[in-house]
Amino acid sequence: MNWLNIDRALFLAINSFVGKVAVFDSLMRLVVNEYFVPVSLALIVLYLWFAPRKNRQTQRKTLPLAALSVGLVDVIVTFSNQFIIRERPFQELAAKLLFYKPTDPSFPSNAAAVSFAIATAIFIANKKLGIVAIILAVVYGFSRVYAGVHYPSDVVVGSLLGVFGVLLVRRFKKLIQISTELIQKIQTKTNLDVNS
Amino acid sequence: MEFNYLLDYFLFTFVASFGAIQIALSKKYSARTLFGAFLVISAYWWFFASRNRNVHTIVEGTQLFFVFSFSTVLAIVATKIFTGAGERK
Repeated sequence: MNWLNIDRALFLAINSFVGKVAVFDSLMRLVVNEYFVPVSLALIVLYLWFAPRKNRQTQRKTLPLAALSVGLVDVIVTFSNQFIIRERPFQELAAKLLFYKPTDPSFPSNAAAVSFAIATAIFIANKKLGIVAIILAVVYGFSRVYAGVHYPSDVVVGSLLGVFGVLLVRRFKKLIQISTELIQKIQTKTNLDVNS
Repeated sequence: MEFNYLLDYFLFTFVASFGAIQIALSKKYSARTLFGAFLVISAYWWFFASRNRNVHTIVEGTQLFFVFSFSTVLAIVATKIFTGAGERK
């Protein structure tokens, strides 16, 4: 049994629960789309920008760190999609679908990459909110498998891509600092600094 | 159809962002915190209860990013107005 078979077996095991517990199906339907988790994570980043804390500058760096990391992982996934074209599980297996049929390649999961990139950036700045963000990203990744649109390995690799994307971007301290100051300058110049 | 979808998304993110900013700027457990939480919950409730959001649209992630950014800027402007009105009272 190679890893692809294990991946398929794991997918079928998770997806087989669809239709068994109505409340769980509804919960997965709520979080599986492009809105619930991404917007929630973006709102946490927004909160960190405005919340007055002792380590405000560290918190504010979350915004450029998350944005640049999402940009990076998005480019990597788009590039990867040109060469690695893996079909979606519902195209290959008898999957129960809770979501529409995406047309782009399954591997790696862009949704997992983006959500883990934002969640990791939040975790670096604020451990409590970071744990909430990581839980949201994990639930989001799981829901993509449960709903029949990704294999578990798509989500695992996407998640790792998101985490390592942030760790890589974080090394460019000067870029993060300049970006943070630039956003603050724009905010001040346009008279939109609501903290003052 | 797509325009309506983007409009829904804009309203959702505008109200939720406005609420999140109120929570961020409030003192712990003040009326402003409750007001912000009410706005965030209401925005989610309305957006997800009003229509099935698990349907395919031609709206892309980049468009959603720009709509979110625009609605956040407007939420900051609204906060300035809201705070200014509160201080004048």
